[in-house]
Amino acid sequence: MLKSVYTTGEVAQICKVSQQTVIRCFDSGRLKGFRVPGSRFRRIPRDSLVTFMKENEIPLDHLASGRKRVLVVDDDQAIVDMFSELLERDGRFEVRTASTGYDAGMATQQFHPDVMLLDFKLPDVNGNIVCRTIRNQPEFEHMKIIIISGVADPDEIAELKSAGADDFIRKPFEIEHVINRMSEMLNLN
Amino acid sequence: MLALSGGEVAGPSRNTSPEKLLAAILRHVGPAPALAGLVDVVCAPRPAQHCGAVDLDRICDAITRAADALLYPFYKLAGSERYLNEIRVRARATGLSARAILAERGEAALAPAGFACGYLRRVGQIALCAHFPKAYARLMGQSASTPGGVLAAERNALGLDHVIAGNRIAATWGLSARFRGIAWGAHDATGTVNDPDAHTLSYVLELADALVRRAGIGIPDYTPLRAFTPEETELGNRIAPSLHGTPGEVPQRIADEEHGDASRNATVADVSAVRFTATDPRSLAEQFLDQADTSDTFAVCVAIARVAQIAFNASTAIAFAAGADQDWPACVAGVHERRITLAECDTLRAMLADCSADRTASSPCLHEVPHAVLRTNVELAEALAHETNTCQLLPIARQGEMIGGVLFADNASANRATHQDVQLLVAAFGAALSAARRAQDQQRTIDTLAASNQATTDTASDPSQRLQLLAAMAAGAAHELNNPLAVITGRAQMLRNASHDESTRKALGVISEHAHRASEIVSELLAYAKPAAPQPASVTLVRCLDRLRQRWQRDAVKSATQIDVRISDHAFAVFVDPEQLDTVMDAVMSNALIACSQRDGRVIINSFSQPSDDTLVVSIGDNGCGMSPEVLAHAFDPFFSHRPAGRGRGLGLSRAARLVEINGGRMWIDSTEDSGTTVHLALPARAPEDRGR
Repeated sequence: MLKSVYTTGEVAQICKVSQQTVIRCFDSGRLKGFRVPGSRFRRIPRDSLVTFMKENEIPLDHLASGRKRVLVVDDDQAIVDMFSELLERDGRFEVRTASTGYDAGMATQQFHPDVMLLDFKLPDVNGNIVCRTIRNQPEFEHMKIIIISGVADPDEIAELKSAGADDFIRKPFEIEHVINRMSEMLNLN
Repeated sequence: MLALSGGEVAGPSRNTSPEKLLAAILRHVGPAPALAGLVDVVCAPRPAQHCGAVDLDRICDAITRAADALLYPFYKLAGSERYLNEIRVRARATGLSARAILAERGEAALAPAGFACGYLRRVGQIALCAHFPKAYARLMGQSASTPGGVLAAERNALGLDHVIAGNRIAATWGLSARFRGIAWGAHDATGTVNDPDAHTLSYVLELADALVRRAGIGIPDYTPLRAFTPEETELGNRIAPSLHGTPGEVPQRIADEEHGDASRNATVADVSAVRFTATDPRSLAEQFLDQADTSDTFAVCVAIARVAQIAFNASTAIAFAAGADQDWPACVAGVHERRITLAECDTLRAMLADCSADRTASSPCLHEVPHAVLRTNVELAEALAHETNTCQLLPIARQGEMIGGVLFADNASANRATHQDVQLLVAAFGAALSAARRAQDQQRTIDTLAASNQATTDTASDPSQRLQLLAAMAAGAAHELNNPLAVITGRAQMLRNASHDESTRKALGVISEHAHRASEIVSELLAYAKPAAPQPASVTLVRCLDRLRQRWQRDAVKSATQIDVRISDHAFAVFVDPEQLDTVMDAVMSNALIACSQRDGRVIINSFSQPSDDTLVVSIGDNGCGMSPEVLAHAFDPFFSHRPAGRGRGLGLSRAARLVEINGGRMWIDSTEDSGTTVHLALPARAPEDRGR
């Protein structure tokens, strides 16, 4: 399941740097790789990426599993358990969970999720506050946020989108739909 | 008494000394502690400290009432003499004018004093006019237009002028020298030399009088007594509107007040018709306990006041119920019985508290009420205005708590009640008053409950409030239900994906599908109670119906029903939310097709415009099963469906009606059982800003 060759975009995401930086490093020879025959696309083999990360003291945990990190935030334990089981079984995801807005913030700092499945109505704050707080920090700019809620007031959805949510899914949902949306957002195949 | 000859006014001066005349006048005058108290309060050197909290209108009315009560003997003496009434009208106009001028000058604190001085400075004239009505009428006619003419004529013809008479009457009433200095200060400024407020008041009174004359109030023909400065003219013009209305208003106001009295008297009579005939206190107490209506505190007050008046041989008795409320109901029994309210009477409260502290358990005590107490309360002062005797307070207690009292003017010599009698009466009063309080507390509880019950009923029956409640409930239900439903569907799908047994997979699919259906019901309810705000646009009916007809065709074929759209005019357009219009038409058509399913059906869609009110009416008529009146009555109620269970959720028509309503339209149904139903939609044809063109 682990990838052996990465694009510059993927390297940028793994190393938490901009794609431009990756390209500069590639072109200067500090990041070893090759160009796809017949085109100018840059590709980086896994071992040269690991070397590059070690040389530049970039933590390897993002590369370690090769799986996408998902943070599930919901105060309903049954929902959290269901997502954990579903996503772990899928194999492409590494799952952490939180049950309040505060926990979600803490977990985001430690876990650096790629995507967050966020319940709108939390015991302490509403989803839009969580969204806004996360979006205010540049390091989480690329993180995807999918709001999952039982109440779908059009005004609330608009408000959530403006607060930085990437998508809105209404409960109850088709599990395939949720997985597909996540895959699309994270460029998984 | 008077001889008139050759146009000359003859008065009593020829053979009567001023002192004798004064004695005749003062025969009708005695000390008036209550009025004196009121006037003392308003005319004190620092009036603001005393009058700040008291309503100006009330204090002016109290002064008017107290003075009128005292002047009553004079009015009676003169009968319906025209001049007497004119003087009274003018007196009141002067008072109101002084009040208005002081308010204009920013001296509102002096306004009550201005009114009191303005109103009372004519008492001498009233007394003279009452004693010598014909001569006085003649005098006024001849000399009113000359500066100082009235005073000179009075002195020459009658031997006594109204300033002296007024001053003496006021002195006998017990009004302060300061007041008298101000009221008649224009003629006698002594005592006001080092008193700037008094100077201001004197000037204002003189100006008020002149302005009232200028306005022609209470005086038949007007000649200016003095010239006005430009500022005074301007001031006069400013307050003129209130003064010009005065001639008609003042008698009317007095009439109103009398009417007010009559209605207040009527209230008392309505409350209790019981009259007490016993004369000795013991039988009175028995009769009281026997006959007093103890269902209402005021009714008990009425009875107590009546009994106290007889028992203590008092000309006036006031019975009141004390409680935690700010206002205490009270009844005045005397010449006129009436209801009053003792508001903010802190001194009386304090006195009752003192009585409570003093009291030895078994001995009720009478307390003399200082005039200071009467002065602090306008209603009390007014009720006891014409009393010359001291007042006594008899507190009424029950189980250690002061629950009321009786105030009466003490006529010691004629008071036949012994200490034992007083005890007996107080016990009876206390029993009745506490029973009434209990009854009233109960009634209040019942009323409160009834009111809150009514409020609940109102909320439930007010459509907009009902919808708000429903929306809040549906939103709560959506949140609470959708979580478990998400777990049910999610788990069912996970199991389904993991299973290879076809029947298990099918069963899990059904579970998931039905959980989704449950969720949709909640969403529909939410959409009914709180629909999305319409985004109106112009919709051409022909095009809209062509599109919808294709959607309906399959169901129409299934139920063998023909859909006949009879609208061809492309000019027919409505201004509504297009999506919501689709929902409405779908719901109506779905009902029509179901109604026609058992027969050879036909649905006709027609439209006509109502040019006058920018409305287009679309009618969807079917020849289906129709509705009974009972079903029709509930056609728009959510979850009401007369179809067999499982055939629909009963939300279609109610949601359609709601959407039509929020789009500014109206929906109604004509239906006859077994012959068909026609649903009418009156929809706005134009945007609101284009309507009426």
